Amino acid sequence: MTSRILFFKLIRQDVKKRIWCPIVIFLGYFLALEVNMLRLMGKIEEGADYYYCKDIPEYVEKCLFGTDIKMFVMLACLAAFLCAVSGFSYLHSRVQLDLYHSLPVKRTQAFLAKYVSGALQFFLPFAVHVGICMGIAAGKAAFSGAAFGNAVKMVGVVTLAFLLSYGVFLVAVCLTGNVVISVFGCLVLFFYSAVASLLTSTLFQTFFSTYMVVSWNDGLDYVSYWRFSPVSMLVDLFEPRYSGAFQNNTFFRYNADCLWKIAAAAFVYTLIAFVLYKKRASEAAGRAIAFRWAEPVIKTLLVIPLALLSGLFFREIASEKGADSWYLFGVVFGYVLAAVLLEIIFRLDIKGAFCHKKQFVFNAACLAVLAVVLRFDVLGYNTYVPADSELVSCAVSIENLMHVSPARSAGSGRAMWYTYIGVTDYRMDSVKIQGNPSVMDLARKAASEHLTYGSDNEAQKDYRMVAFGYNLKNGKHIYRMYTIDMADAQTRALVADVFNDSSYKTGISPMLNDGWKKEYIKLNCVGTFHNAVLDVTPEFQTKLLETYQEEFLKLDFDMMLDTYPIGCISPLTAEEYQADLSWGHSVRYDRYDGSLIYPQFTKTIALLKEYGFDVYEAVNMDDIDYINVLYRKENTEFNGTYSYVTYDYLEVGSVYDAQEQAQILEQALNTDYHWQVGTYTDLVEDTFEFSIHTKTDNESLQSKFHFKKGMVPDFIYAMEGYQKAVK
Amino acid sequence: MITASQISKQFDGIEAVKDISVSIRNGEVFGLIGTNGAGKSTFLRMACGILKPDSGTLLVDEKQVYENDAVKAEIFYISDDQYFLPNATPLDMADFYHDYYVKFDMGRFRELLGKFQLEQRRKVATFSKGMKKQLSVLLGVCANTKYMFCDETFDGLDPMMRQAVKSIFAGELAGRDFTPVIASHNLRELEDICDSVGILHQGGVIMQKDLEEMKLNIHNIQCVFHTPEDEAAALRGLAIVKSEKRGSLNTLTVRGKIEEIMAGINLHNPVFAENISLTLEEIFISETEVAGYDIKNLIF
Repeated sequence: MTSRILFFKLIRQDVKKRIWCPIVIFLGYFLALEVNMLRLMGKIEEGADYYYCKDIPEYVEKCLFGTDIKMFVMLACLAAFLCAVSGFSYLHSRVQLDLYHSLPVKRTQAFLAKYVSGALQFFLPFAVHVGICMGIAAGKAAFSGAAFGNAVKMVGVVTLAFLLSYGVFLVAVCLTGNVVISVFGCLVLFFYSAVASLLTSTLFQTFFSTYMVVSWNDGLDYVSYWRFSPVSMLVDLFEPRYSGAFQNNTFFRYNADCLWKIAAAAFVYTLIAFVLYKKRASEAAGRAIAFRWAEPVIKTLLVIPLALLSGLFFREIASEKGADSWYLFGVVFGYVLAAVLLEIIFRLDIKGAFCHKKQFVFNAACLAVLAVVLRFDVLGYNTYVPADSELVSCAVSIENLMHVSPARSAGSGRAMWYTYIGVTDYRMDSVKIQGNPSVMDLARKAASEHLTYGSDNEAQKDYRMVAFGYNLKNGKHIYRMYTIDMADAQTRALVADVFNDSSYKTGISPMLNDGWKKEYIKLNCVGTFHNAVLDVTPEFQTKLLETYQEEFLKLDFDMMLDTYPIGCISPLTAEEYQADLSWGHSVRYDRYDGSLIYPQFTKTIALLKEYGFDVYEAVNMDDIDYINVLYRKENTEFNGTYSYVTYDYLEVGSVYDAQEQAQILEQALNTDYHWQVGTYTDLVEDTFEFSIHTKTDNESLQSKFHFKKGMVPDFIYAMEGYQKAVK
Repeated sequence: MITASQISKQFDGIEAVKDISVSIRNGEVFGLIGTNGAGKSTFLRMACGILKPDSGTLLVDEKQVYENDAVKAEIFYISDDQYFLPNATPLDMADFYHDYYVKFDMGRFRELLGKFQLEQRRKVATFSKGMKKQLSVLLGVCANTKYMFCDETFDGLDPMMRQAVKSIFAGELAGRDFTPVIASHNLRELEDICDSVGILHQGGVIMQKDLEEMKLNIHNIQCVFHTPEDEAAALRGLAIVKSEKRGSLNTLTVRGKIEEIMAGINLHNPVFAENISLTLEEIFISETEVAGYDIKNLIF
């Protein structure tokens, strides 16, 4: 009982000593919650949009206690910093420490009291403000059970974020012996692994031509230590990921899986802080680092990344030819500077700059090994291909071939939007090829050839990129991006084998890959000249998926490259369609970024016609006012190191003659087709681009067009604008 | 009782305290003398559980101090630069200590504040250095702990205040089980307060003595004899620590009981012989010189 009374007395004394801390937190949340709430309520009442909330109850439920959580989490991190530093900085002052450590209180009890006191100094003001906001909302008849639920969840998540940051900052404060150094320590601990993984990613991008980042799944945490950083945990909590853990279609968006990680991390950091607090010698006050054993560890962990960062910096600002020399200079310069500065900081004495020669040499040796490994790919990163026996499946993405953007809708009510997932990222998840030897043959060939883009544009005109995602039996996912030469017959044959694999085809088509699990309500249909939105019934959906799948799986690689697509379809779920409407336009309406329709897909074409869309429907010639033609002029420029190509679009002229217009339309090809498959074929005359302008509104159709290869009407070449452009 | 046995403490490779062994009996005022850097503060910080000795044992009432809140509840430590809470008044500080020391006597504290003419509600930050020291002592006394460690607390205190503090200590010593340990770099500051003294030098205790015992056992005698033969015979029988002769006047520092020394001298019919009282400084100089140290320049 006595100890419990003392515990509360300790908390009381602690609060009295730093009463400014809860006051600052109270003010911060007052501005962020009540003041901000009343300000936005006023705006919404006047009809202004805030995150597209339709009314105040929706704002209270979904924004105030929902999306605004990110701001409250940021404030919680700042509050944690204040609580940790103000509560435990006495450890850095000998005078204060003499008083507190002479008192009859065990360190365990002192730590717990200060810890709980700090947590309460955050939690009570925050909870009070949330309560007041609930009261204000209730006063405006804008408070519901759902809003209460969200408020409780929000308080829980923000408190968890606070506890994580608080634990981290306590570790920093207990590890250091000086207030200024402890502030640096807080920053380092909070951001270290995130920044280190960014640096690693940058180094890999610089030195390994096959390195690729897959954002939906691994992203920066491809570098595995990304996730250890508190800031990355908080980013991961709110960052939408395609993995499915994310709660779509709600304002209050967080990755619930991350909460356990954050709770566990908060516990571990707090435990480490407690152990450091217990073990910390009183005489450590005033030193830079409280534990001598930690100094070399910290030094190594800071000096090596800083040296590599410096190497990268100097490499980037140097010319291409001198890149290696400048990299070397940067690494050496950065290392010496960082090592000396840290030593001076640790000793708090400029004369101590070189006082640990053995550590200096050891770190230099580690750095040299790393720098060489990176520069010369000593560990064979670029040439790594797993053995077939190690594989479960392999994801492949033949880049710039049938790039269908997988978009997801998000939000609710008026606030619907699309979140786009990179095509390659999507395929690294969706394509799972097994038992096709050509896949690994292609990987091995690409890895062994190790082609890279250089200055010889002609020799590499058929270079293309292929991404591989190796799903290994040990649970790891390893990604590589290779450059291949499509002019090589063997490579082309292997690519064809990969494309013709049914797993590949199904995986690269979002409609076929996801469509069976979704319920579509609309189908955007795009022909060469006209578009339509069809209603989709479950019956139509099943038929469409079955028919399209059957015909798409039959589409042979060579057939695809030799044939012009004639249309494109994109099915939409209710939410996706609503997202389109909520933005006041149809972002996917007339573009070839859906599933392509080829003339060979006769059953699909017939099915679409049955439901109201004729893909062959031509543009009404009477509607056309004129066709405007542009010429793409290629310029080769030299920047002092290498040559590069730029394009100018020059006016050729407008065609008003109906007969000439008909000739043009016969050869028209949607420019999006070029984006989808054009770089693998030679079917497009992309030196010309034209747009069709109608009489009704004197506006062009939204699509742009190219001519089919070799099919540019002769009168175009005779036009004055063309003659002028090619001069 | 405080017993330190062979305790050592290093800071970054520098030995602040080296193999100190010292015993402090309950109920006595113990003075710890030494120059700056001698290890007084380090010893006191170890004795009150702030620092953990690298080696050796330090027991207070036969128990380890470090991380022992029960033992620390009987110790009040006043550092050489005592910390007061930001914006605190004497009453705030009393309230603070009251939470930690269950026997803290608020009534007495108010009373003593009045006696020492320290304002209860004035911010401590506005106090003079001497006033802060007085306040620290008052807080320590009112905490009613068994031990009070004062690190250079009395250095610079004016004579009136020293006398007042001394009388408080005397009262405490008479009224309860109380053992103040006072560190100072100046022996003169402790002369009239301490019962026994330990001298620290370069991290080690070179001597620990009871002051009264020392005063009773060492004397300064001035004497003149009629003949050199008498003089030689008289001095032969004395335990002389130090002797000086100017003309026929002998100035002797002699160990032993004064009655026996004087009887021995009077046997040889001196022209005159008298006992001149030794200051504490002189006693220490003599004692430490005997021990082989020349500390005149160190602690005076």
